[in-house]
Amino acid sequence: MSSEPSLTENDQLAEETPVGPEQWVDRYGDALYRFALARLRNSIEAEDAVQETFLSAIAGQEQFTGAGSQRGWLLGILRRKVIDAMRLRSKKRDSETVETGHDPTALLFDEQGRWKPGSLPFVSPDDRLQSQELWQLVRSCLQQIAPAQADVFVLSVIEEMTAEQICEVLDISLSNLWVRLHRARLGLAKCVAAKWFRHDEEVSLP
Amino acid sequence: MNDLQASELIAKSLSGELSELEREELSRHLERTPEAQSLANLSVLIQKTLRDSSDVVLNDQVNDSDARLSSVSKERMRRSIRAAQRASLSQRPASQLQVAQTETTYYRGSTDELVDDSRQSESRFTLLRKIGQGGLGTVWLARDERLRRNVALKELNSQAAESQKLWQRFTREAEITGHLEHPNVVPLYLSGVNPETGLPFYAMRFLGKQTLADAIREYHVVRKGSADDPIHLHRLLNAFLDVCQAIAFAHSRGVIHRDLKPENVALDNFGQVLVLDWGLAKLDSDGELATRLSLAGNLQSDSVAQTLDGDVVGTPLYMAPEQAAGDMSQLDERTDVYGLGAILFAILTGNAPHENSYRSASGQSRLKDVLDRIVNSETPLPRDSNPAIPRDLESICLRAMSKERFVRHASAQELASEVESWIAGRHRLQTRYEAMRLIGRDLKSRLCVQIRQLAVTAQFMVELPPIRGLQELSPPASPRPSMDSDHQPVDEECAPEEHTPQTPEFNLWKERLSSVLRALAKTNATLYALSYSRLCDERICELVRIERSLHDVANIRALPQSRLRRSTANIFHKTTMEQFPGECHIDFDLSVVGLIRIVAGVPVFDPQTEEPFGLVWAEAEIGRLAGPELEATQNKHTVYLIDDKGHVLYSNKPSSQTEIALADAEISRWPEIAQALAETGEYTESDREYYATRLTLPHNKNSIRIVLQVSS
Repeated sequence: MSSEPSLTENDQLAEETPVGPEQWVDRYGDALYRFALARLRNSIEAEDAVQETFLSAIAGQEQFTGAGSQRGWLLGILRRKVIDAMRLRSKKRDSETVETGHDPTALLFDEQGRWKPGSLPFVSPDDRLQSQELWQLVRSCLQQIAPAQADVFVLSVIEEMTAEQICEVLDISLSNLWVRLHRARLGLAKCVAAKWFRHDEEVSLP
Repeated sequence: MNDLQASELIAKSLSGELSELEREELSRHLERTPEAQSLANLSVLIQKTLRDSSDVVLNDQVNDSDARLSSVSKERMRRSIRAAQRASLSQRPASQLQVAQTETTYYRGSTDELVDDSRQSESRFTLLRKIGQGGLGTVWLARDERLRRNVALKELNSQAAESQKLWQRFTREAEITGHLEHPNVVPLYLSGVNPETGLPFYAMRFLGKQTLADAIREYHVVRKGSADDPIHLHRLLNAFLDVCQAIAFAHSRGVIHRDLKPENVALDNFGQVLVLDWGLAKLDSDGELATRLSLAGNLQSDSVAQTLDGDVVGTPLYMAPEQAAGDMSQLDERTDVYGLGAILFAILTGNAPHENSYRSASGQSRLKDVLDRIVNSETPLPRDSNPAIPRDLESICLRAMSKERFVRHASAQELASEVESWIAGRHRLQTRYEAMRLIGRDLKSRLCVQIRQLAVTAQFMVELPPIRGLQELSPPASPRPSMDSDHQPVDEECAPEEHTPQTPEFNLWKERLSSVLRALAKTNATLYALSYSRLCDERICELVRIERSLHDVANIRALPQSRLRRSTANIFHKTTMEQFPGECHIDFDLSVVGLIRIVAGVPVFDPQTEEPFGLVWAEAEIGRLAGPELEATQNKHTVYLIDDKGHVLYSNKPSSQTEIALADAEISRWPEIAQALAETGEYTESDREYYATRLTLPHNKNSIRIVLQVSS
């Protein structure tokens, strides 16, 4: 898993003085919500995760020694809640016995496994696409791919969990994990490319 | 490596899992394939963007309105934090602490404008925990503090509340539920608006979290674990009858549910069954409720019936074709009959009827694909997923799920009574089937004993002194002239005197043998004939044969010389001659239709030369061997005895056939019966029509398949 996310200077100043639970919602609520929303991609579940984080934090308040920042401590709890929520989602998907994996390969490749012409525009490795807008774009594309694939992708890329850890959390096999990750990456690449280049053309019009 | 495989490697490499070899192969591929380069570049970019954004997310300067908690949510969180703090301070026992994890109270607020609903001022609920979440509302387990009981409380989601349509739908759901007073429709206790959030809610009976879907899943796990107990199916079917009754009641009030599925049926362990979720229900404009409900007029618009995003996964799995076609004007009671049939399908198979369509559909147009398939493809057959389903139950299910509405049961009530009669009839059928099974087993053991007896008789005959006496007086076998001569007709009968010298001494032995064999036949009423024959040059010459009269069983006579058999030896004779001394060979004699016999033969050897001389055999008519058991079946069952080649050796069906009947022509399920008998030696079925077992004859040479069929 990734190390604790780095904080801006302002935040660090604010972090020096831990506040009581009654002020948590105002001070940390939005940031924690964004953190959860970026991972869970569902506002209701993200809200639930934040609320449960606060409640768990109250129950385990003694465990906060004050050694790290209060926000980091809450983030640690939230991260576990987010993973719990994903585990629950995965279980629910299983129990519904409906396979939710949409396969984008058919859109990109022909029957012999060759790229279909024009399936992806050419993208060079330069950084001209980098921006806040791109992040929004990626986020909306994450919403569009199958949730079972997006979950695996989020755990691997954002949470930087190892394949084995993800398999354990979601209770899936390693081969299933690779299939989902592959499909997630293809689906995202297709979606981002389509949206970005359409967007690009619009912008460049006089 | 093709492009698809290369894309897999690209995906894998971004998680740092490539071997040296794979890496080299991939870089070669990347050099020559621009699309692969694009995919790799895009993927790196996406990954980098996401990782970098971890910081942005935490930065409060993000200017994104939907990335903040709403003030309603914030207030709710503050309240639950305060409640949790109070709970932790008052040092309540741990169990209560957990329950109090989220606490919201509905009470009369201090602002006067909220007092317009008198019911609110009297009620007070504590939300304990979330038990369900749908596109429309959230269901909580709540405590009614006034009556001190647990209730289920459904509250409209704040997002859904922004849509006028959904708000109306929620309110109408409450109204319809409240008006359907039936033991199997969830009772509504109270509905109102939460003054703190302004969101509508209603409280209803809480039965527990278990739904029919859980019970079905459980049953099929147990069933597949080979612990299938009919009582489990019986319980599910009883619950199903309750659902039918609730729906029949709703129909009588002009309400159509339209979203029937096992998830919408709550169960408990005490046989209570409640139909939930009347959110998609449609009001018949002439129905009783339509005139009484305040919102009825606004909501005849069928757009409400369109599934919400959140429900998309569940609902189409049980959807009727006319619903999938979007043909809203066609929806009526029989749409619910289809839904009930679909629930019955799930009970029988453990799967939703359209689950396979759902699995095989793909792509973003998945929902559309599934709906198309529901409309255009044939209704799935329950027995395809579970062949153990009784056929008559399957046909009830298939009728309810007919694509044509006019074929379906006309009402939920009619469907219920069909299932009910099936349950009632099953006990009768079961008893009858068990009795038939016993007869089948008795028949098998009787045949086994009788055939063994037949073999013992033949073995006894070989040891009789007259057998030896006749053999010693017989002239030595003279080699026949070679067969290649055209002048020698092959079928020429052997001259009687050639093998049977008409000396007084020879006739005396014949007389003696006849009287011993007659006596033997008298002691065993199942015997049809006993014979002693000489075999020379592949031809059979009967020396002595006694036979029971077909018309008068007490009449046992020795056949005169002129009627004795002289013919080419058949397979039975030849195989018997190949046996070791004293060993018995058993076969069927199909030469006379209507008088099919089991024959047991033992070879006779010349004691001096130790060369085979001839054989003795005992014949019994197959129908008589199983006498008492066949009588026990009377007219209740049809019995078939069938050999390995599928010839019907015996059947108690009245017939006047001139040829031996074949099993596949007589028995509709013969292929599956034959296969089961070959594999396990016994065949039983859930339809309770056929039972079959198999009796293997010595040396596995042949067998008798005993098939019983319940007469209709």
